[in-house]
Amino acid sequence: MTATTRSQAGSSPQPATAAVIEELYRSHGLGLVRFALLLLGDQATAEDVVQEAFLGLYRSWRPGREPDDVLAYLRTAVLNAARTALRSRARRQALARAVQPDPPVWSAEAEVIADEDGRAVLAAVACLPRRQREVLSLRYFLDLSEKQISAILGISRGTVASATARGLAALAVKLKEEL
Amino acid sequence: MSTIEDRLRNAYQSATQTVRPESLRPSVLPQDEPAPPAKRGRGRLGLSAFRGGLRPLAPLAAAAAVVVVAVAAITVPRLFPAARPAVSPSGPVVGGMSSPSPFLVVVRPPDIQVVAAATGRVVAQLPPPSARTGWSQAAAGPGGRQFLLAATDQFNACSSLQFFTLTLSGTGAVQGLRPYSAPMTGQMLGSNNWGPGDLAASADGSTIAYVTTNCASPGATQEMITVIRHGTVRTWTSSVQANPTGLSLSGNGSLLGYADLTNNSPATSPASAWILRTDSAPGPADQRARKVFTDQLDGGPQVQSTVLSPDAATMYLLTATFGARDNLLAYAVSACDTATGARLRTLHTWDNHGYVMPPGFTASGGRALIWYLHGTSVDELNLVTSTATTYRELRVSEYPAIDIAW
Repeated sequence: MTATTRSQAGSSPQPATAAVIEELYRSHGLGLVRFALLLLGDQATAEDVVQEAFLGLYRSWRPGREPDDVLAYLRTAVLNAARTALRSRARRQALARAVQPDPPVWSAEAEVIADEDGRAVLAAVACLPRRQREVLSLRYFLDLSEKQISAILGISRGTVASATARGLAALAVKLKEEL
Repeated sequence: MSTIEDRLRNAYQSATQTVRPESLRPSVLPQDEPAPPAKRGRGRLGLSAFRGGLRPLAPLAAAAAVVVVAVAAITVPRLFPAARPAVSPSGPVVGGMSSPSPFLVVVRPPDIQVVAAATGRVVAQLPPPSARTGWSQAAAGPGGRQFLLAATDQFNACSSLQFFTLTLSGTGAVQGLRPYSAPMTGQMLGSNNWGPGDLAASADGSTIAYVTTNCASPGATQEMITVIRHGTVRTWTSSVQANPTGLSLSGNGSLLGYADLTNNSPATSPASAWILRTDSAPGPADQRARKVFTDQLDGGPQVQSTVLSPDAATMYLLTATFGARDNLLAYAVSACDTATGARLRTLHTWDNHGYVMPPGFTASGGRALIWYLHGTSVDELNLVTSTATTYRELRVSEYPAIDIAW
C-alpha cells in the first residue's frame, strides 16, 4: 500500500509572512547569490542554495525577529547549503543536470571574468580548505567582522583570525607573492 | 592592507559582478505554500503542496569501472566494549527489527545534540572534541544508548577522520565519550566530501562501515568502502565515477547495503543499490557486491539512499521520480526484496516540500527518519506496517541538521 503524504487540512497561505520574506529576498537575495557564487563557482547552483535558504527561513519564520539575526541566519543557511552542494553526491542528487554544469566562474573556460588576475586569485582560493575559503569570503567580500564571522560559522574569534591568516598566507604562496 | 588582500577583494568584486540583478529568479516562495508550521504544538505536520518552479533535478550518470587499490584485511581493537545481540531483547521483532532508540543524536556542526525521540526536546549538548575539529557524522550503535561519532578537521580538506563512541545514560545525558582508533590508510580520506550516509554501525556493535575519498591523488575521485567487523578491517574500492553512500549494516554486521549514485553528467547510466558481504575479499566493490536495484531512467524511480533491514531480507530505497523535463515529481520510500530484487511495496510518497537538497534518510528499529537540511522538523516513517505509517514532528532546531542517528 502506498501511504499518502501528510494532511493539508487547516493550512492556508500567510500573505504577510510571504511579503516579509519577499522583501528580504529583494534586499539580500542578490548579495547572497553573489556570496554563494564565491563558494560554489556557478550562478545556477548559487541561486539554488539561496532559494533553499529563503525557503527554510519562510518555514521557520516567527514574527519579531531582529533584522541582524535574520541576515545571520540566511548567511549560515547559505553556507550550509553550499557545503552540501559541494559534496559530489549531493551535486549529483540535487543539482546534476541533463547537461554539463557550468564551469566555475574563475576558470579560464568560463571566460565570464574579464580580469585575468581575478581569475588567478579565485583559482588559488578554490584550492584552499573549505573553512579558509568560507572565512575569506565572509571577511573580504561581505566585509564582516571577526565577531560576526565567528557567530555565523560557530567557531571562536581566534579560530577565525587563524583561518584568515592561514588562508592569506597560503594564497601568497600560491600566487608567489609576499604578504 | 596587504597586496594580497587588495587582490582578493578585487577578485571577489570582479567575480560577483557577473551576477546581474536582472538575471536572478524573481521569487523564491511557492505560490500555494501552506502556512509555515510555526511554533505550534507537537503533532502531524501539514503537507506542503508545493508545486513551484524549482530547478529540475536531472537524471543520473554513468559509472565507468576503473578500480585501482585493494587493501588487505588487518585487525584492530573492538569498537563497542559490550557487543549485544543483533536485535534488542526489549523490543518487538518484525523483520529483525527492534524498538528504536529513545534518543536521536543530531549532528549540528560543530556540536551534537541529543534529542529525546518522544518529545523532541534537547536533553544534552556535546561540543566538538577540539578547536580544529567539528562533529560531522553519527551512527546508532547497540542497545539504543551507544553511538558512533565521527569528527573531521575543519582546516584540512585531506585529513583523517576521528572516531568516538558515545554512551548515553537512561535520561540521555552523556555518560561516556572515548576515542576509537580506526585504521586510516595514509591520506585516503577526504573530510570535505563527508556527509550523511557515509557512516554506519551494526545493531550488535560488532561492525562499522564508512566511505572515504582518495584525496591524496589530485584529480582522483575514487572512493572506498571500509568495514571493520570483529576487529578485522577490509576495504573495497569503487570506480572512478562511483559514489557509494547510504550505508547501512544488517543487525549482525555480515551484510552491508549501499547506494552507488554515480557522479558524471550527462546522465548515461543508472545509479543502483547493492549488498556486500562484509567478509568478502577486499577489492573492487562492484565485483564483490550484488546489485539489488537499478534506476529506471525513463520516468521510473531513481535511488537516492538505502536502508537495509536488520535481517537483511529487505532493503528500503529512498527514490526520486522525474518528469519529462527532468523536473522532480516526488520522493518515495519503497521496500525491495534483497534476494530477488523485486520491489515489494511503496510505503510512502511525498513531494520535495520545495527544498532543493534531497532529504536525509536513516533508520532504527523499524522506523525511518526523513529530514531536510533546512527543515524545522523530522518525519518518522514506520517501515514495518505500511498501513500504519505515522509521522511525528520532532522539532530539532531552526538551524540545519547535517546528520541524525537513531
